Amino acid sequence: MNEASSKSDDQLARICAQTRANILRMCHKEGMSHVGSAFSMVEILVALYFRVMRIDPADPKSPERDIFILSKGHSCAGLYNVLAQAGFFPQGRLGEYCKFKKGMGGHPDLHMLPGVEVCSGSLGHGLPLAIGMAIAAKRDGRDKRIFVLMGDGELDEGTVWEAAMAAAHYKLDNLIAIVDRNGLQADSRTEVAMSLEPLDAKWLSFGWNVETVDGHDLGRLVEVLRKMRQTPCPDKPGLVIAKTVKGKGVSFMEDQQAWHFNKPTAEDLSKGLEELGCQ
Amino acid sequence: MQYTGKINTDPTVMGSMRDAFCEALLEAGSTSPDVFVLTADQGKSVKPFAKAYPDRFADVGIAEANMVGIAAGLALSGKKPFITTIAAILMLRACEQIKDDVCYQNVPVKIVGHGGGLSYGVLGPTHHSVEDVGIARSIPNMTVVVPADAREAKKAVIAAIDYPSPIYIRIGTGNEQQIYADDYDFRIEEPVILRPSEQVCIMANSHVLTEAIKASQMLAEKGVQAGVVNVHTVKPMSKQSIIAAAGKARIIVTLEEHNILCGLGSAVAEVLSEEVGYRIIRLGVPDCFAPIGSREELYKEYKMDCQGIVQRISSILKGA
Repeated sequence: MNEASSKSDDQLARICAQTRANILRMCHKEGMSHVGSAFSMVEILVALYFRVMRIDPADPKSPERDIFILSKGHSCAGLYNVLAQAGFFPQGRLGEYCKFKKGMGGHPDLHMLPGVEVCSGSLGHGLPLAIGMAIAAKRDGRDKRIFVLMGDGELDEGTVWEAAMAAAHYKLDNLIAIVDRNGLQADSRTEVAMSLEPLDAKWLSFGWNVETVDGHDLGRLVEVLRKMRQTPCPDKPGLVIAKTVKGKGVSFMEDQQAWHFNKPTAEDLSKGLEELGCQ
Repeated sequence: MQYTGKINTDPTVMGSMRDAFCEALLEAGSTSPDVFVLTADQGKSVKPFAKAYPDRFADVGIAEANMVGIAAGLALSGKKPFITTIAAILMLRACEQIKDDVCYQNVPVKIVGHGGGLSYGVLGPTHHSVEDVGIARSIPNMTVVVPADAREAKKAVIAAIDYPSPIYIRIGTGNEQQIYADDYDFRIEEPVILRPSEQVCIMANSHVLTEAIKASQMLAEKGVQAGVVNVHTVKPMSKQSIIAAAGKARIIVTLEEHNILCGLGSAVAEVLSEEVGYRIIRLGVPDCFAPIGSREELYKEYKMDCQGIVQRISSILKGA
């Protein structure tokens, strides 16, 4: 069970670029979208799987493992790539993306792929599931952590706030939630659709230990997430607001509303791969 | 094998399904350390469990959807969570969580809705639960059980403890007449024959089964042998078990505290539609919001009471 891989920081930066490149290739090939949503969370996932979480890809169901829940399931192309690069399954399987009866659909399915912990797709489900897992871990006396990544638009869902109350009420200091704060949701900017700010104050008032971090600064992400993992604020669940850019890494996708749903054309793919240095 | 039960004939013998639920939970709590109980501010009847096993009980507040998600998270971690609150609110408010978190993930969450059917009569349609069975049975991986009395509710809950997949058990509220006189064999999916059938078979579940039994007795006095079968499991439903339970009867009358769409009557009609020679009459709430009224008044309103059932069957037999 490892918290940190032997890969260097340079290698992790390369994994981030390769993950974005693969997301582009997969979404271009299958005509699937959510590229922007997958891009904004890449560093968060790489930090978790290569530097922060206790995992053993050879034993993906170990009861001692940390758990990661992708509550914003639509960005799963990113999760599949990071799981493959972390060794949960061969990278060759990424070619199964959206293929008939294969394990890698446009939303993740825990029955189909090693390392996928829950079925997600509809928003606002991850945090309640994480609470159940965190309660079970405490009951079993296991020193494990439950991580859950939510989109910022997802915070419009009422169940997020039901769960926000409950996690603090049950003093779940083994639960760490992360918000991918890219500022855009399907139809508009988050603050146009439904005001979220002041977001940190909201979570603080709900009784959470809150940190805000640049969600593309791998070093800072590792630092903050590790601290939350190893020395949690007693009796308080942790919340990391990761300030990100939707479509991060490809200039013409960055912070563009359209890249929630846009499907990369051959030209988009070519330009994108060039910018990522992954032709 | 056919499952049979002996009918209690003493109307003063009563029992509470909610209390029976808790009795079963207390037994389960002592033998299975993985049993958890969650409620959403409706835990009066499970207080003994909460007192006995406080570290395996949680009242999540008035937040049904969150409760279902938490239960699914517990089940994904190997626990055996029971969740309970008002049936109408639990099944409809948290329907998507029940579909995605429980049934799609196929985890053994045990969903116990109380105040089923018309048992909250005067509280009105917000609290009437006459859509829940139809919704629950339309979701893959779900098993749906509607016990008829406290004895059966306890048996259903005990059967649910180690049940490997999602299960919805819909119970009543308060004291209700006991239907079974003594112990009997209960098995999920197997209907229980209470009176054998000749011309007609009444298939029912929940407390309204008492009206079917009374109607059967009244018809017997008129020389009509109408059998009574307790179809406690609405899903899965075995065609062979339903055919066997109907015996010689070719007129099947279903009776349920539910919309006549999508519930027991629909399930029976679906399996018998593949067979030749059955006529199926569905009694229940006729696809409307019921008015304010006691359970008995509502039974009468929709001809679900024994007189209504007798009238309906008599007119069918005259026309046949």
